[in-house]
Amino acid sequence: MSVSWNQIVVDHGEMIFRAAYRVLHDDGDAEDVTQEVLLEAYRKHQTRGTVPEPGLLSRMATVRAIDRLRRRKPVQSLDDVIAPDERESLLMLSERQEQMSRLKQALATLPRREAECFLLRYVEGASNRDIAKMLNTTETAISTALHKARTKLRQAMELHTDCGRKP
Amino acid sequence: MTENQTRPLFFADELDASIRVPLNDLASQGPDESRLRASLEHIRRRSPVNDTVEIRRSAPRGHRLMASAVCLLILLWFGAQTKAWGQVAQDLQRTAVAASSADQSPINSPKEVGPVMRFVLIVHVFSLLGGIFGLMIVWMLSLWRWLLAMWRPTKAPHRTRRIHVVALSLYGLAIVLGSCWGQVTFGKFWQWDPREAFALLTLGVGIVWYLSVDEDQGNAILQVIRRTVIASMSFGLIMLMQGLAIPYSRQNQSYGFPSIILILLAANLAVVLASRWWFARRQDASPT
Repeated sequence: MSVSWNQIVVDHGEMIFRAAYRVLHDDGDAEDVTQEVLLEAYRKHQTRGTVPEPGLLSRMATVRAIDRLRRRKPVQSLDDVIAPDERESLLMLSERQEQMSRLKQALATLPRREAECFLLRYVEGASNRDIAKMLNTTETAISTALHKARTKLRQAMELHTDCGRKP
Repeated sequence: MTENQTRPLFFADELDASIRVPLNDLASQGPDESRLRASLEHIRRRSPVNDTVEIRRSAPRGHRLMASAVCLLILLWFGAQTKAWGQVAQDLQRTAVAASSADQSPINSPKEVGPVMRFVLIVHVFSLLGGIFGLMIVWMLSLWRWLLAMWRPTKAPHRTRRIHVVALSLYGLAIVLGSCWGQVTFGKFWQWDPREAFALLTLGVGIVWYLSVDEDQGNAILQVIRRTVIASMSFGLIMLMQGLAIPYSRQNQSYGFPSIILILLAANLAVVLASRWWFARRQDASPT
């Protein structure tokens, strides 16, 4: 059955946009990722006659979002721009926001494969078998990558917590 | 809040609290709805159809065999034209010699010309050849693409438009410089002889097709036909009109094939109309 570009955008655009936004938290970047994934879906439809299933599209969006996150330039730390007397109150108010930001930065510093595995499993809910199939590798490799990703992220978050703790 | 925005993490028990809490915050925040709608509308308007050639499925086996046979015959016919190819090579050589030497320059009454006009003639010849060569390349790429698509359907982005633009630009430059040379030779920039008219017609049809018919959209065979007509028109300037380097004079500057202009113009118009009718029919039939 022939499906038009409009139909693909209407059917899958929102889901893909949300998946990209979950990682990027930026409308412009999420739009670019959505465009890339929809274009790929459209091309696959033209060559194979079927649009990839929504789960796969969502995972493709997550993988591309990770790529984009890794390409971003490091964001200047709040510590560098806010006066010391204001810093504590702001940190109190935006502690969770700051943790999110730290996690995003830590994700961006992970090796690509580990970051992809981590987000595909915990945000997209893909099983190890699905991830292995998608990334063309073995389940064992995925388990190892996930373990490494969790360890590195935990260390990054704990390091931040230790640094922020008062003596 | 939609279902997507409040979706919990998967396999959350595998994560430490130091990761789980910020990851949950990260994944649960959705985009602004109005921005989301605007982005999707923006994406929808940027249809990829404008950048690609639409080829839906491989052709039936009989069509493929017939296309192969036709192409083989065309190639054999081209290959058999040794006399014509030899004549073209000889003409090009004589033209290059004429262009590089003022006393043998192809003007009615040989006279001294300055280095600027000599340069203009050289650039005119090579830009004309470059334009014709570019149009031939574009035509062959289209043909090659169409043949490949019969066996392996594809939707790869089309990149021959850039070559097409360069070829048409060179062709236009050749016409402009040729008219400058005509001013020196005949005292007029333009005199509507069949050769000039034919070159201008080729350029005009090429530009009109490039601008009005979306070359990268629709059926590949129609694209091949259009580009075949343009390439044959440009190449016909040499092949059908007795060559570039025949003795130049006021008398035989016209080559005696004015009627072919009308025939090719009618053929071009027919192809344009057929293309437009075809695309209109396809767009009506496709779901939105």
